[in-house]
Amino acid sequence: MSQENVARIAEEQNKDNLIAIWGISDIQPLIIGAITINKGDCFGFSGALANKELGLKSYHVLEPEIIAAIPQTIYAQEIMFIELSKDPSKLQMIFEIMRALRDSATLDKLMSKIENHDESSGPLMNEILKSVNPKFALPK
Amino acid sequence: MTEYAVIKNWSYVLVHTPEFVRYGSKPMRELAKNPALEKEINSHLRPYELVLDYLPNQVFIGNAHPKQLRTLSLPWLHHSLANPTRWGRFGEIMPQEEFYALLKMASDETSSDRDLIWLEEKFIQEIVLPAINNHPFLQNTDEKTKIGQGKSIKQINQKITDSKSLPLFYQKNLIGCFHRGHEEDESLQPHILLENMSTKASAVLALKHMLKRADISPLDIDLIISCSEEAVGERYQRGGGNLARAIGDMTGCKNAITFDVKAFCAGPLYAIFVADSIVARGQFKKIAVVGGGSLAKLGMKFQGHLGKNMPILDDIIGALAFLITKDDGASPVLRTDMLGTHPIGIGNNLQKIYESIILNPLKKHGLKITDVDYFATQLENPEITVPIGQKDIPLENSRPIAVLAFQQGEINKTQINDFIRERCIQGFAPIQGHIPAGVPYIGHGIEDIISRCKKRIMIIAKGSPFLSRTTDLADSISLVIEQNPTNKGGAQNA
Amino acid sequence: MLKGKKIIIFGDGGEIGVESLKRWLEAADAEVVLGRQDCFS
Repeated sequence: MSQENVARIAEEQNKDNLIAIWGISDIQPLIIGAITINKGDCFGFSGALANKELGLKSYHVLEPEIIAAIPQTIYAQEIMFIELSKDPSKLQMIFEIMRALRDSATLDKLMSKIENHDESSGPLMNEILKSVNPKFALPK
Repeated sequence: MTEYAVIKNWSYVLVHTPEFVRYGSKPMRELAKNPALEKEINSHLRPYELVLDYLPNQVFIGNAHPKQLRTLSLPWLHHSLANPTRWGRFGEIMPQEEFYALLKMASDETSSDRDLIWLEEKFIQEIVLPAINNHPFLQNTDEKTKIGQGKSIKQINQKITDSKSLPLFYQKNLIGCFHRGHEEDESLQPHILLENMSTKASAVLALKHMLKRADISPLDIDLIISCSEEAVGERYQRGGGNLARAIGDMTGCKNAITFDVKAFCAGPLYAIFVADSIVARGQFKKIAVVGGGSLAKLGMKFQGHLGKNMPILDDIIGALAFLITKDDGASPVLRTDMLGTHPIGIGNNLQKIYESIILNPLKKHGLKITDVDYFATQLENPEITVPIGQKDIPLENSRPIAVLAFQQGEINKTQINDFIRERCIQGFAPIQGHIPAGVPYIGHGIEDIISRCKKRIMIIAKGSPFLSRTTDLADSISLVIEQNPTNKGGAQNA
Repeated sequence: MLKGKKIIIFGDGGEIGVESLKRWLEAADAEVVLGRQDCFS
């Protein structure tokens, strides 16, 4: 299962030098994944990462700092087209979310929101999105 | 007449199957872990009236043009229509009780091998038979006889207990069960057989509509190709195929030979391509390409819909049929000489894929991207995915086309959104794999060419062979359909 | 920024799949230690 492999590799590596990079652009799985690999599984998948904080930071591969580190030829031949083909406002949203999830203070605040969440006040994912930026709330 | 083939006619049907949602792949797996979900699922199922009163569904069956969707912002669920009808110019939206009749007709109580579905006697007498009384395609006495008298609820309950038959429901009441075909054979377990029979039954409905629209007899069809997403087979051949034979048999196509084409979602376009090649040889004159619906995909996004307190929108299965013949001098032609291909060596590089299936075939024939009036990619209804935070699939597949046009200097970067809005078809089909893969627009697109002065359209489909774990590769294909040269007096290009 | 870093990658099964991610990041002198073509659901 995904969680076991990730937990195992994380144990084997020096965590100071280990990061996660995501290619998926569906926002909800991205948020769930980035939080899980940092603070552990708090979404009820009952995997190996339940109650296990690996502390790994996540980036989306199209974030400017990652792109900047990739050789220009590869960018031009393979990545630029993909980047242009994404909705620019959605990309900005992804970048803002990933930055927020890398910030310890923001993430800690978010974790307490997740732990105290009551479904009657609306879906958890909507709460998370609104915390990062009120404009990110799901359409009604 | 040219040497091209044409899609001379078509049909598109939807079947409302709310109480089969529990047997969709995702709901079935989640219900096994958490049976309490059943109540929540049941309370989020749409009534048939709301399935009719829904613009994307009316577009699918031909009663409204896809462009109308661009004039309405989401949510479309809240937009009530003037006079929504179950009968469409291209087909119909069938209610669940009639589908039970079709399923029963698709199996055969007189044969112990195929006695697969039992329906309760009162349900048959009081609901099913009256429901199909006026259906133009369900009046054949022989077929109606297959519905039989039904079984008692006691017999049904016993069968569920003894043989692990799948319970079947109507308005939350148990009204039947679906049996396995063999005690040990995994491929003949009830939920697999139910899936396969649903594909067969819905494909038959689509084929009957197509024959009616084309005003031809089933006996006129000489070849049937099924491009459905299922795996009919048995323990020694789990995907044996030739569902086309079962479909043709039930439809009365006694003169047809049959086989299946399988390519994940790209199946229908490949099947059309194969039919085109065969028609060119001259031996087969009227080829039916049919795609039945996919039960496995019911309720695929149900968790998201429950989370937003929306009705479960994956409550319908879709089916379609096309009639392929030689050039008839009037229908738009299939430019398979301009087929957009995605050879293995292209791999999964997005730019190379789009160049290969869109840019290169057009360029080779002296055409620009902007010489295509409309592009139809994966046409999944965005209302199923966007409100629950997932992507607008047609939009994501259309944007790279606009980017290509920009890279080729045909449009400015600022015109990318205009290009998408004006030339790329909005999504309206259920998430049924092969059904939304470009092909729902074919009927509308042919009419756009014949009656609305458009010159050419491009249908694009993507397949996902990587899902089978036998490869990492994706697949795609495109087909241009173009104004018949006979109609415009000669010149073939531009 | 990626030079010498160890990376766990999650592909989207499509245009930004595991294969592509691995190639791009290795070109940036990073080491991919685990690749998943899905996420945690």
